[in-house]
Amino acid sequence: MGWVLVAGVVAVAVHPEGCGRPSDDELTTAAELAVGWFAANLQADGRFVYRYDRERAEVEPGYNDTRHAGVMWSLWQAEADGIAGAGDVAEAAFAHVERRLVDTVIGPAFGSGPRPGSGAAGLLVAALDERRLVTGRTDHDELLVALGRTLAAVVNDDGSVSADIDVRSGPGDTRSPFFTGEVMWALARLHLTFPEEGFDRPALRVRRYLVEDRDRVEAPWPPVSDHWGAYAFETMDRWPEPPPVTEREEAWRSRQLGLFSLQVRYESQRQGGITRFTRGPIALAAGVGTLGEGLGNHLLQLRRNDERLSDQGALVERADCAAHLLVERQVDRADAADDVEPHRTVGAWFRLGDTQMDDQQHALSALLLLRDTRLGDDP
Amino acid sequence: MTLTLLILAMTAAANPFRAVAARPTDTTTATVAAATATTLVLVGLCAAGSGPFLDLIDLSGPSARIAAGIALLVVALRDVFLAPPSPSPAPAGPVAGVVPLAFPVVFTPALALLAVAGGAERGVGPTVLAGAIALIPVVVGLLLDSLRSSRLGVATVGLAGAGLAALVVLDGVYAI
Repeated sequence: MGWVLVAGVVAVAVHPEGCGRPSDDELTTAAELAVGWFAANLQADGRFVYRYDRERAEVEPGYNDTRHAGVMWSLWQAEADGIAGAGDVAEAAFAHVERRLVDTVIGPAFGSGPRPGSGAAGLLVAALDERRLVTGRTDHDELLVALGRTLAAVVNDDGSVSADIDVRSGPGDTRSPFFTGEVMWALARLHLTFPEEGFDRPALRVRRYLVEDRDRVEAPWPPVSDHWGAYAFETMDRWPEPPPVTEREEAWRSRQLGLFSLQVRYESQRQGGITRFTRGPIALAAGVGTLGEGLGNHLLQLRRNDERLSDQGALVERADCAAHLLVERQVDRADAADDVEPHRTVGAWFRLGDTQMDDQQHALSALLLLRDTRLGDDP
Repeated sequence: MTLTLLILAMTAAANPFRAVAARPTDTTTATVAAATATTLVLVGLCAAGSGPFLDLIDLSGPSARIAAGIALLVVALRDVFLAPPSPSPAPAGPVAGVVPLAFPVVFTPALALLAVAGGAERGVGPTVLAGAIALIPVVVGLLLDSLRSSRLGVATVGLAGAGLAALVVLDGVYAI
């Protein structure tokens, strides 16, 4: 059988990976542009432009409170990393939160409708806790602790997390592939900030469930590469008495690292030409960003503890690759020169002509985290 | 990819039954020695050049393993479904050990890519060692004049190769 035939089959199945290593300055510039997008697309009511169609130059309808809280977290993260003005934008975005804080039977939650999501409260905690760290201001401490108690109440006995909170009857029997990690991360952060409140206990219950039961019980397909879980593990690792990583947790982490890496390698093969047919269009920047966030958090933890030293080189390569894809795909000022509304496009990431605010949010967080891993900065 | 998997995959890629089927008439010990040495040199070159080669074509180590697994699958399916080659009419002696025995019969594209993937992951020494172990059945088969290849033997190794190919691909898929 001819070598040509084998080479042809292999070439159709495996493509070159368009990876690189952006410089620290490129990472910083891309993060600044993303923060600039949020500043330019902040509305008077504290919300952001949620979705924008570049070709039609139209803002599209819709909003998502969980993502709003996620944006606030990323902006405070940017402020902490020295990107000027990010905190001001996040502070202005709190106006929307004030209008959407609702009382439920288990405490305050963030969202609209009769069943706000627990994930929104989780990310709001992350944002306000980061604000507290950055500014030293304690004016939201009461709200933070109250939200923490709400989150502790959505953690079931087995460690699973109720995805929504019925305002009248409390946590529902619903699950979300992302809220579990978000709530765990929020509780983990709160334990660092308010160690006397006992938020570590529900956080540890979620940790056990996430590692040992979640995939079996909730059976997500394809398997979840859990960037929020990675945030939570990294945060717990900074507890004064961090829980030891068990064998099952190590196996879970190995699987997670494989999932993140596989997706980065796959995404990096999307370079036009034949890959349009074999790999499809590029992924959402939000998706690529979560890969960078997951890898960045795991790398921070591994480096801090000198763990998996033989894997760290490959992990850094994948993390750099995710950052490279984000930097390359971001709209810069030159790209936006012909746009009708360049303030809606500069600093954004588009897929099939659309951008959504969580594209900028996850990409921003990933870029900052990956820069932190290089600098050896612990959060 | 464990060394064991690399050895088994290389064995399937070199399929000893196919090598015996293609054995030139009048094969001598020198012919077999030349075939073995040539194949091992080629494996070593592939392993040694794996780093620059993969850099050149922008492929990571795990993706190289996926490529090697796919190449092995193609070669294995050929062995399952197509008739093995006939004995070569090439003149006996060391030259016949190089062409056609080493190339193209034993040194298949799957063996080449497995050597590249192995070299990138484990280094040259272990990869050449794996190749040497994988060639033992080939050498034994070629030296035993009484041994005749069978369609069933070629296909059986091919079938095993298909399974091993899946393992090699999965190893690349789940790797970091």
